[in-house]
Amino acid sequence: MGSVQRLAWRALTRPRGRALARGALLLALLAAGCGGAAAPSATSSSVSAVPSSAPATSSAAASSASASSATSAAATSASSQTAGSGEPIKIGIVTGTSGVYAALGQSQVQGGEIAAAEIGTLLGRPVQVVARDDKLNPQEAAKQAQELVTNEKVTILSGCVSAATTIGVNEVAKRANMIYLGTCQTAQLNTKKVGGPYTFHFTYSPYQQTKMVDGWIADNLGKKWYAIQADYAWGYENMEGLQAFIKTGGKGAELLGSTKTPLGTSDFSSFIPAIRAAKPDVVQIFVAGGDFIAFIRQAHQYGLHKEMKLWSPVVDAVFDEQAGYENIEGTYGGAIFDWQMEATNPLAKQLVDASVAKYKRPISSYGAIQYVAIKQWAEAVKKANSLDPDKVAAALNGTEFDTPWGKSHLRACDHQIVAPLQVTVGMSQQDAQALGGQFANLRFRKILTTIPASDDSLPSCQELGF
Amino acid sequence: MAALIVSQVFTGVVSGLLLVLVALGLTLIFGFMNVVNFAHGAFFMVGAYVGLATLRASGSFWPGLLVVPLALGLLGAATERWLVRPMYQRSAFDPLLLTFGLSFVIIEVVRLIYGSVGLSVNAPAALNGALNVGGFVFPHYSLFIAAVALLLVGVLWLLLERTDVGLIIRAGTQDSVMVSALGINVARYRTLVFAVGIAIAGVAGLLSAPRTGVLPDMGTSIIVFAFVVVVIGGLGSYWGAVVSGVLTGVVISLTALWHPEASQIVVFLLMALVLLVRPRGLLGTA
Repeated sequence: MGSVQRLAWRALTRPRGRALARGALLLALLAAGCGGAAAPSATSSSVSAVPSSAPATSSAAASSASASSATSAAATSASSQTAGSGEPIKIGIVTGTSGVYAALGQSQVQGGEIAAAEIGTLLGRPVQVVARDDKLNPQEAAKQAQELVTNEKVTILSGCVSAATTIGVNEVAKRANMIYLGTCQTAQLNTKKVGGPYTFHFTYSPYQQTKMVDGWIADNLGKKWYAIQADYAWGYENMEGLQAFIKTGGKGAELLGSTKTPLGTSDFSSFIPAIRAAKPDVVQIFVAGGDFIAFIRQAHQYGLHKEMKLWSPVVDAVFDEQAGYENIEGTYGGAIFDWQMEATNPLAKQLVDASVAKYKRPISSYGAIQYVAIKQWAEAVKKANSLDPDKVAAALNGTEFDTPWGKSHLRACDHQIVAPLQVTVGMSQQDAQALGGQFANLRFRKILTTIPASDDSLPSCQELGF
Repeated sequence: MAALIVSQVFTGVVSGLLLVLVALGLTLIFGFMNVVNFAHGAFFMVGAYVGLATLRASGSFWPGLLVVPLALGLLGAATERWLVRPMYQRSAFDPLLLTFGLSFVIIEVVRLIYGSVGLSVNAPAALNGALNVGGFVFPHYSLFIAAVALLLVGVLWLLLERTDVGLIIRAGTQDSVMVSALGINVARYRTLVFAVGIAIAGVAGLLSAPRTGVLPDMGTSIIVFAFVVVVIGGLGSYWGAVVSGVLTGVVISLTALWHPEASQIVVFLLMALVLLVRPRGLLGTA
């Protein structure tokens, strides 16, 4: 910033009329300012830098492997030493509690808190959540995670709402020989290079989810598709899944066109006429969070919902609430969890009740993912009777467990959760009110069908190099 | 294809007119008092939140159209009187740093009150739906944005051209030392210009709210584009800001049609081109 300031000083203190110098400097200053302020535009640029961090991964993995035996021994001795002392076990959650996915990040922290409260004590020690905001920025995420490891002495790391930040946090966890529970959508955690022996992924990868649901979309919503995609990892992974589906037969589905938009786009109006002109049956909306809300509002203003079906792979009550009933009515979406599953699943009822007692509202889908991740980790600790990451990982892996969204398991080779998927449609406010209950105003979606959990929707362990 | 281009130009003009409203305040404030107001995006966001508060209190969108400019005008006047005014005697860099810092303060204050999570503002029911003319779709709300923006641009221009106050402001833009030498209290007009600039940015925020929802960060990206618009149009030029705002909107929109990935960057290329060929901006005076 130093040189920018000096230049700006010189240009701005000059007499008027030097438009060129001033204009250029204004922008330089703005760019510098936005970088520090985690503006949406800055996020998208830092996000696009992620693939370049891949080469660093292997070296970090190598160094962590060599240090592995030494530090895991240290961790074991530390745990036995402090077991009786009542020193809290800290769970570090690094997630985006500001920015376009703020609502998801905040509900993740709530899910973590509910889990910690339910667990109470583990190996005789109280369990505590320490949460940090990653501002959707990979560097910030890694910094916060490192701070949790060094200063807060957390036992595990978890959390994420962006496919870009999860890698950074996972790297820190790997170096510290710590378990990392990923809770946002990406396939990168499942690769041999990025994931490690202690990396677990508690929600679908976009590829996996696409493979689960695209057949249903083709059968029920239509075969001519258009895709609008966020221009960062998560958007690309969704597109890959969709294209892989079409390539392998894909029930005759075809992609008429697609478009990329930067993360943090608020004005989608310039993309909508092209979508209308393509006349697809279904628009697959691979933008999420604040971007999804902006898109769906503007699509509604253009009457897009009357001409075609809108499908969003990740819907969550917090965003439905922001978008409002009139905008989500009749739009389709996938979710790992919806609080209304409390009607049929006792674990969902328990979670929703705890959430209502603590936060005065039912938990969202992303909150439930975080809750399940930490609860399952605690179960594994109890089973292993140790905090040692090797023993806990062995106890977590491959076992089937019951969750608020039904029976699920973590696949042995890549630690990917295999869970059922809820296919939902947005309700009208009248229909939601008619169902009644204390939170009738938050009954945004009706579950149309549940796609069962299956390993078949994942690439095989051999394909992933395991 | 022709229909598509018409639709695309229309959406570009509407997005561009919102940029114009933000850029006009910037260019007026810069022209009259030589202050680069970095907090302009934050005031745009505050306008949206004041609109939200008005909507919640009154149950209707419409009162916001009156409350937002009044509230933001007062806020702007207060900002000029107590924060910016002490900076005039110093270098041009001080007010810039001040407003830069102020933007963060404003964003964080709004975050404290309303949280980081985006909130919803619905367009008035009367403006739901769209006008369908021979296959072209014009959402009522977009037409409404265009109408309000054009009205503001016109009224503001008439005020500047046809009133004594406007005459003084235009004179002050050219040479404020001479204007004060003629016995006119320039300080009072500075407060007025700042207040008006902030008020129209607030209205732009209010108009954006039903399209995008409201978010504490919502001003951070629009301010970048508004600065580009001001630079393309010519610093301090009224019609320059209007023309380049609409042009920018249309260029973004048409690029999105053929090459969506480039739609955000093309504006900066346009700016670079204008600055190379015509350094003072499209309608700027040297």
